[in-house]
Amino acid sequence: MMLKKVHSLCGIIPPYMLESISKAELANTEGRAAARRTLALTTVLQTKRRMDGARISRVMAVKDGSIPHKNRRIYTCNNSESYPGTLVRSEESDPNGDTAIDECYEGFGATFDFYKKILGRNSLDNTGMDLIGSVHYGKSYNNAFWNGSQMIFGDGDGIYFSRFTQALEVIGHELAHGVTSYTAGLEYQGQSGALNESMSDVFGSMVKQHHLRQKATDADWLIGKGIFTNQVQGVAFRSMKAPGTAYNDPHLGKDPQPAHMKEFIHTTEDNGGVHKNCSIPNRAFYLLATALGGYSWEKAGRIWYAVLRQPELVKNADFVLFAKLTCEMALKMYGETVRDAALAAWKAVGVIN
Amino acid sequence: MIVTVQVDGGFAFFPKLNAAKTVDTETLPTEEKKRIETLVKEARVWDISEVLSEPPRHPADVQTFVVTVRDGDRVHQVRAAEPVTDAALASLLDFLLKRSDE
Ligand SMILES: [Zn+2]
Repeated sequence: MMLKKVHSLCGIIPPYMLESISKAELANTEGRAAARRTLALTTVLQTKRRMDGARISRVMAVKDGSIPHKNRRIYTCNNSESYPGTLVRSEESDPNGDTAIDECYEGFGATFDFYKKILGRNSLDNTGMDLIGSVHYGKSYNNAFWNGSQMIFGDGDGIYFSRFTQALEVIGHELAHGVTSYTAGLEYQGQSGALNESMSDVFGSMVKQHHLRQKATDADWLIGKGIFTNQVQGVAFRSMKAPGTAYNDPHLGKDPQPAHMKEFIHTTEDNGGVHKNCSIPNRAFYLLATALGGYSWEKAGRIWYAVLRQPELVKNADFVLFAKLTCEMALKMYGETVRDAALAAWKAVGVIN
Repeated sequence: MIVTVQVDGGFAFFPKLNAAKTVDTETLPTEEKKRIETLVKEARVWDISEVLSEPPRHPADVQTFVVTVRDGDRVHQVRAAEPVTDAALASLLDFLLKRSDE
């Protein structure tokens, strides 16, 4: 039955059209991802034409977006700045013994499981995209980033920062950038960029809480905990619970994150302060999740995820639009009490008056 | 010559790490002054495009290195997203960032 469905799709849409959909500018949508996957599948079909039925069914099953497809590939850059690097661990292989490699593999697994079990999402693009990570990037490299198709993690300088893979919420954060790019595609500039960053903190934090089976009121709501060495006066890079309190250190400076719209930072740096102002929607999520009690992903997380997938959440959305959509979604999904809690959270951070 | 280097972006914002660091080569010991001027020359900072490389599509948390050179009235700025593939520019960045760290 699955085979039939795929055949009919390939028959209706010619490959060149799938390719143009796949390359289109509206691209960072799940539709595009599906088109790209389907194009890949078409190629698989064409080249595997002579395979027996059983094998074809297996290939179909793997590429069909509805079938969970967890496929992790971890590479090492061997401290160079070229990636992905050398493949060192793939799905279902034994631990490598290198801490960063194994943390990346396990972190990807915990993130995939969260999206699958809690949100019914099949990897970043919802069609079973492989999870690719490169560790040991650069020398004394103090960063982790999403390059548009894979994650890259540094080892830290060993003086102020240690390896970036050791905080599960950082891994969850980077992978969430992939989810955002395949859903709302929030522009990485100004308020939409801060929302993009906040989505990554919110989902990264939930990945960690889910992994630890932590209730919202028991979680630390810190981002980047454990990455600072003991030379730094600070607990993490950001605090969703108490923005502006994560660190205050002679070498790094003081955590500049605002807890309220009246402290919103206007700047041209950092794509318009995306890593500064993300604390405002971060705190709204924390306030809602803790007000509702239980696990953050039970209601608050599901509301955020539903809004992320809503066409009404346009690429250049601002905080007010996002707040309104989450309140409407809260009402639709869980009724007035939860809607009122969402409204109270956004009022507390000054996004809604 | 006045040279400024700044690391913009990255996973988190740290006020001191992300602040622009400026050095006036006229105030430096001869050896260090020559070293910076040679690195600037080798990297062809005055001649290369203002945006040497842009981040890849739909990236996040990528760092961009910004180098500004001033000599009298002449000013030129170069922005390069990581990874910096131009070896000469990478050497200049490496020297300036390590120097400002000390
Ligand atoms: Zn980010």
